[in-house]
Amino acid sequence: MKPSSPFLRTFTTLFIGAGVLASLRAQDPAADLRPAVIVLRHAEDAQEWVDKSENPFSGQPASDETPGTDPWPSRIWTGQVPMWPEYHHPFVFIDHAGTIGDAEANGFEIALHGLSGNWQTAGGKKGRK
Amino acid sequence: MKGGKEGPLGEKQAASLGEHLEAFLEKGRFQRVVNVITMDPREPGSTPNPFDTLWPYLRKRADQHAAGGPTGCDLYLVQRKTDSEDRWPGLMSLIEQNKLLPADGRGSAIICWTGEGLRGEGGILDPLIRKYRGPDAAYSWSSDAIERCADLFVFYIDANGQGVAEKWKFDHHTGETTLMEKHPKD
Repeated sequence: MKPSSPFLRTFTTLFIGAGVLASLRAQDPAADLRPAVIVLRHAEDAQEWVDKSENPFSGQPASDETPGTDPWPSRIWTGQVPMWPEYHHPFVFIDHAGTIGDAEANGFEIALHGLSGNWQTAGGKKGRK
Repeated sequence: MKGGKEGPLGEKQAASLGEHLEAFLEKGRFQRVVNVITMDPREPGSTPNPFDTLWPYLRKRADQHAAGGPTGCDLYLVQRKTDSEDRWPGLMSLIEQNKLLPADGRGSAIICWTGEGLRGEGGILDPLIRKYRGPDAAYSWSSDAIERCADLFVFYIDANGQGVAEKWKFDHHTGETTLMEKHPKD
């Protein structure tokens, strides 16, 4: 059998390679999606969430449950906290200098874990153990 | 507090965003959100509203991840410059340094901010507009549109490599989104 020419081999390799790349791209739907920055204005009175015990997202007002918590009650201080350890990288900070820091290094995640240890689900409502 | 007997308006808006935000991204063919950025609610004098607005969405993402779904998103809490009421230079520097989005292009970012923090000196929109539409670009988004809750602003690079800035109206009752402005126009 006559061996194929180097040109033919190169052409065939490139052709197959292009086909493989096209196939991989077709199998990866995310490749055709575009990254975007979405800016969202906050909702009004969203902090009311924390005051509505009938709301499944709600906990006790943080001002009641975490005395001395300064400055504001927020869902971040409520019984929703136990969900966060399941996140792959729960909290990071952008400080005022523009650097990104690890939340744990700032003591924040530790504080959250400490809070989470004091909470449990009771009839859809969060409270202290 | 607004919203009447059906509950606070903010609660409904936050819940609706949590329910419909992913559909909006899919409809626009945007990458899945990997970075969620908002004000640190622990900041003295800050407001927890932006964080709490995002909470239903964050909770949904956490639930999806816990159920074996896609990886969750990172939450970035932005801290204020300690000697200033209205300046958040950390976020501004990330905008200028193109660090809001992942370097590999695989993911989108959401910034939830106060209405006052969107416009004017120290606001978020102007540096994003300049970033995507050029250093001389400026748009007079109507103040009414910005003050209206739950409006969305979207910045991206289109298929022609051109920076695009869009303003969308979000109906928190139905989850429907309507394109209000686009620069450049089609």
